[in-house]
Amino acid sequence: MSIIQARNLSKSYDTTSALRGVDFDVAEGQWVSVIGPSGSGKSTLLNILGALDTPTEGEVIIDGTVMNELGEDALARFRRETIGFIFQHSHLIPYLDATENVMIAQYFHSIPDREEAEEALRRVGLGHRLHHRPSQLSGGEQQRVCIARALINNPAILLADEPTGNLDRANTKNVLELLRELYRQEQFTIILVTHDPYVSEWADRILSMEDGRIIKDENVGK
Amino acid sequence: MKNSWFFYFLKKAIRQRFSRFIISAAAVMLTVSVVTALMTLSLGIREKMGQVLRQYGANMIVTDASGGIIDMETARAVADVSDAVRDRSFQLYGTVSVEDRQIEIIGMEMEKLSGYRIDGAVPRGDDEVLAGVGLRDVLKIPKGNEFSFEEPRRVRMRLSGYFEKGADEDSMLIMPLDGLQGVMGVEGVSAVLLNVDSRFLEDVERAVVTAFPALQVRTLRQVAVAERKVLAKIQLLMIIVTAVVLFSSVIALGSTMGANVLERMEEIGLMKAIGATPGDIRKFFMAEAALAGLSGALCGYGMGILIAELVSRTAFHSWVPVSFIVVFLAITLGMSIAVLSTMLPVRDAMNVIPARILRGE
Repeated sequence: MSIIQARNLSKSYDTTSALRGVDFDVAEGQWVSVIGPSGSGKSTLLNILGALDTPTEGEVIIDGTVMNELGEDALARFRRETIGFIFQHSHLIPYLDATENVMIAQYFHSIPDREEAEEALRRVGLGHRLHHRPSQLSGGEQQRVCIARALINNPAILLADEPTGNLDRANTKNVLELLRELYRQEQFTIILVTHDPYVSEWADRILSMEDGRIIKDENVGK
Repeated sequence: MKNSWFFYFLKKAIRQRFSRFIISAAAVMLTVSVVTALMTLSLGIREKMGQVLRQYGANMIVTDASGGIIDMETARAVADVSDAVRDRSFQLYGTVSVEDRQIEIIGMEMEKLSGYRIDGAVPRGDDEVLAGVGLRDVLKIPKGNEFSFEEPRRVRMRLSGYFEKGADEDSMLIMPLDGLQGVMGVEGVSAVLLNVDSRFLEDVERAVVTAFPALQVRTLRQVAVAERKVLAKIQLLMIIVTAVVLFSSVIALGSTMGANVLERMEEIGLMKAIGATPGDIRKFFMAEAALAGLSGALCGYGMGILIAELVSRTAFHSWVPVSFIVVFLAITLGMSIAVLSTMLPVRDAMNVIPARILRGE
């Protein structure tokens, strides 16, 4: 069953076309990597799938809901109920500690629960960093806080935009192993954008993009 | 429960940018203090100006229509005819003969003797008299010496001093009302001089004429018109200053709040990404602005009252009354300008697509 359906997606910025008629479906519980060089349109695609941007043409249907038909408040509700985000730059709130950065996602979703947030951080290996601020954490630790924050509300879909882009190989492997472990436990769908073939190989399926189009769609079958 | 977390995150956000919060509150404080001071002065100035203008004398004179004497009971009733009467004095006019010269004399209450420059002493007894400077060369009596009134009846008087007013009175004599009543053998007064709140001059005139048909009223409109003009100009000046201060404050606050919102664009983008509605985000920024407005308003109110009292002490040598309505106006004003100047930058920030903010565009 398809949880994500992208239909003829196009996105233009003034005279530049970032996406040109992209079509694909993603089955529920699948890990999909989107790989391509810089400027290929993969981040734009991810932002449109996560309703952080709107397509110039085409439509996105997630879990049966046509995203183009939702207003701003409904989109916000949809994001907090269905989607978790991980970004290349961790985008943590600087004046909140690790636990509070997870709790702010709970706050917008329902009601913060400190114990649950701390447990989520322990699961990503940050039990010893619960009350550290982002500036006191390493890049890898910051990404782990983001993973905990993205998954705290049990989303059906995790969207990750170059989540290991700022990490060295050892930390990249650690983060990917953590993601795989959580993915296997919780059975959510992952769309992970990367330019790194090593990262893309962790997926079940790889979509290769170039010049705003999907040029290859291969099942890796892991 | 959710509200307590709202305040928890709000407190964290304010603590992180405490210096900016203080700058915003200080901008509100400055505005509110100026507006509070102007409002307090403006509300109290009519009374203060009235007190000052009263020193320049009456603006209404009530006399007997046939030129006779008004008995004391009627005179007192005239003075009590309206609450708009701020001050009153009684005067008795007569003529006395001194060394075969007929000299006009005014009997009045000595405590109402204001606006006169006196060389000597104010008469303390019924046998003391002041002479206008115009009589100095005529009478040739040194102050402190005694002399006699020959008519209407012969009495010994003591010249307590000379006065100068720069008016017709400078060639007259002045003595206590009771004393002149004794000299002239009358029980009443020639005129009741009233100082009436200039806004109600016509009303008081009508009330006197209605209640006392035998009396006639003359209003000194120049004094009244001058008072009205001065008050109107002062109030206009205050409105202009208030408007200028408000305008510049909203601009200053707007740029401070704009910078604050701009600095927190990443936070706004992130909040959107994790599911905050525009309303959720606006609530945080507006609450922060309202708190800055409230703290600035309370400090500004205190400072404004202090300024108003200092100005009042300097200009009028007395304290200005503090109106409690100004507290509510100050708080409303402070919170409104803080919230209004935050609204625009937050609205603009809400329109930016979160993907662009998170990409750092």
